[in-house]
Amino acid sequence: MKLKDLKTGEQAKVTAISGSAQIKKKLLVNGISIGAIVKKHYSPALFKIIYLSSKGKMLGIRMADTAHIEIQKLEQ
Amino acid sequence: MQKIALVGTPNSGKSSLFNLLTGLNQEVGNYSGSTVEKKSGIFEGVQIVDLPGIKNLFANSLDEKVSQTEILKFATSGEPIIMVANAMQLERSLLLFTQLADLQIPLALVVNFKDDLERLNLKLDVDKIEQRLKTKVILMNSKSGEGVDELRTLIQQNKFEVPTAFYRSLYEAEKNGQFINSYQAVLAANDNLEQFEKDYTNRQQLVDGIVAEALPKQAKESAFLKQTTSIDKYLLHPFGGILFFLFVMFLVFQTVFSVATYPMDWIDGAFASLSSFVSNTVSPEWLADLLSNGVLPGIGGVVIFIPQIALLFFLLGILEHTGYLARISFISDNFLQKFGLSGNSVIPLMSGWACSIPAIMSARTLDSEKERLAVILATPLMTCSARLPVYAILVALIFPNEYYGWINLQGLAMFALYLLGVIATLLVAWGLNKIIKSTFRPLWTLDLPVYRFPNWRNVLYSVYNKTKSFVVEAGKVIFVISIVLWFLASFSPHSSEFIQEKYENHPQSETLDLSAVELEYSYAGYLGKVIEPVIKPLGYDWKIGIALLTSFAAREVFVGTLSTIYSIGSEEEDTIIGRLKNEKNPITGNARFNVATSVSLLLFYVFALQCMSTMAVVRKETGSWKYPIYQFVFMLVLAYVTALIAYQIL
Repeated sequence: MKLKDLKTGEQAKVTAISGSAQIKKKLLVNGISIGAIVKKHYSPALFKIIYLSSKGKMLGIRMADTAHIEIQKLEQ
Repeated sequence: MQKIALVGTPNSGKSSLFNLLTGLNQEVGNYSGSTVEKKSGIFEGVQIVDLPGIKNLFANSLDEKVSQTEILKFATSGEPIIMVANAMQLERSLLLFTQLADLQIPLALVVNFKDDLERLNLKLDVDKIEQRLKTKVILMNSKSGEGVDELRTLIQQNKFEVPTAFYRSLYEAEKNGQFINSYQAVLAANDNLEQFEKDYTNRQQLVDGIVAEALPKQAKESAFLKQTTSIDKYLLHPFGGILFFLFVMFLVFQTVFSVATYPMDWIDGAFASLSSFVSNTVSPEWLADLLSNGVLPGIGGVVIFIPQIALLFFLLGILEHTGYLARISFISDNFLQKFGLSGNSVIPLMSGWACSIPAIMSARTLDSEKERLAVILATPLMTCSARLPVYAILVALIFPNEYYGWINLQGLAMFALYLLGVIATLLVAWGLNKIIKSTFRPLWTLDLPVYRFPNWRNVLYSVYNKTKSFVVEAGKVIFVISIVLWFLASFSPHSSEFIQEKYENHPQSETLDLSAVELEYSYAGYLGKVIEPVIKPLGYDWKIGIALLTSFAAREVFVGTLSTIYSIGSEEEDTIIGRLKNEKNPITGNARFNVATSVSLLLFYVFALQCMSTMAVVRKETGSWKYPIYQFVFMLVLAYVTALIAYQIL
């Protein structure tokens, strides 16, 4: 499942990251690495951005870019 | 003098600590408040260097490279670093700490935002972290100053320690003694993803373990973020969020224009009285004339705008320090993509409302070179604080200071001018996006800080530094130009008999002052008349021409020049606006600054690039004179054409 498929309020574990070296590096630096737990807070359709948090940090990622992030949903 | 660097991840409260330690004893270069240049100040006889925030030592953007380069210099010199960590994002901060440790730099760790921990009833095991990192750890609240005494003692006693290296033995990249250790060589190379991933993953696992032992916060993390995420549901709402943003911006400009009017009137009146006093009391007469008609009106033309500029910086500072500025990036990203920009461009662009120079420099934070160039070239169209005096004076000449309900008409006009600057900036960015070729599209991410009450100390220091920078930079130029102008406007290549004859034969000699004819036949008058044929179609006379010429280096000089010129041409002591309102067109007898001329001048100043400092920074940031020259010519043509159309239509 992709990160964009996660619903608001749900948590997931990152299982794979695809894309170029630049993309992987950027995600890693922002705490999105394999094994990281992320929580989706908000995703207003008009802005096309997913608002999530990981380890106390809040982050916005464009919806289109979330296709690079594979996740496994965690039960609450 | 001993030197200590402050290093930290973004939003770690590093600048708060820097302000707390150095107070007003800062040297912030020419352009204060920039987050992309190092700043320095003195604390306890030690030079404290504040470096831009950095997430890790593998620098990506240009601002991170400033920090990386400086840190590598500290590694070579062996001077100490204070690493500032955000207590609620300890994992990220400690990861950077392990990298610094591997450079074998003497270190101390300040864990900031103690107040956040207390609010959540969390207890950080400082001893545990000290033991694991083998470094002195100080828990601080840089907002209240709690912990600063401990930090002072550490600095005074120079109790920095070189921690045990963590992972540098993983690498064998040391290059012929060029670097002091292998990790420095790895950082300098910085192009190997595999090496980067290995390094990052190892460090992440290590710090996750340390944080889990010293600060079991997971259970309370959601509570910490809940307040911010709840507010964001409203402020990032697709429609409510945009309306709120427009409302905030409108409120900012209404406040700037309406509230600042009162102290501005006092300052204007005070300078008029001072000029009058000097004129009546100082001798010899030429000195009184130089001061009352040259220096004082020129300086008054700068000082009068301090309230407006300081208020604008204050309100923008509040938006930044509360965390709302990042939300503006969030809601604008999708819209800005249509112009080839991203939400991250918002901060450089909005900084352009203060001054183009730090704004252009802050474009270094952008990952995309194409976007960076577009922002550098388009940002000077944003209405900077130097345009504010010009707008303020011309808007006051066109629009009455009246209220419709709670809306001030002049404030509304000012808002429209700022909006015009934004539209022009976006259209130019769109055009540049079509011209500049690049296929590289970096992944876009946006850090969203938690909402906080602003740290008033930080906001006020920022206002003080930026306002001081404006006054000193503009004041120096205006002081010199005022004196030069006074000489040019007070002396003539002709004899006094010649001027007297011209005055007596003037068709309007009955209503005209002799001083007006003296000005017309002065050196300044001739200079203005040289360019008059070019500017006449825009509705300007030779007097405005002099102001245009003097303001080509710095647009804020325009008002000071007008003030000096019309002061010399008038026998009456009056305020700046009063003098301009009373100025008549000698041919028609109507007001010189009528609606058509004032609108034409406003549009000229909206679009023209009249700032040598901006051109110098564009050259520095792009590495070529080609860009500032294109920029100057393009903006001048745009300014001329729009001013011409406006005057001819009106």
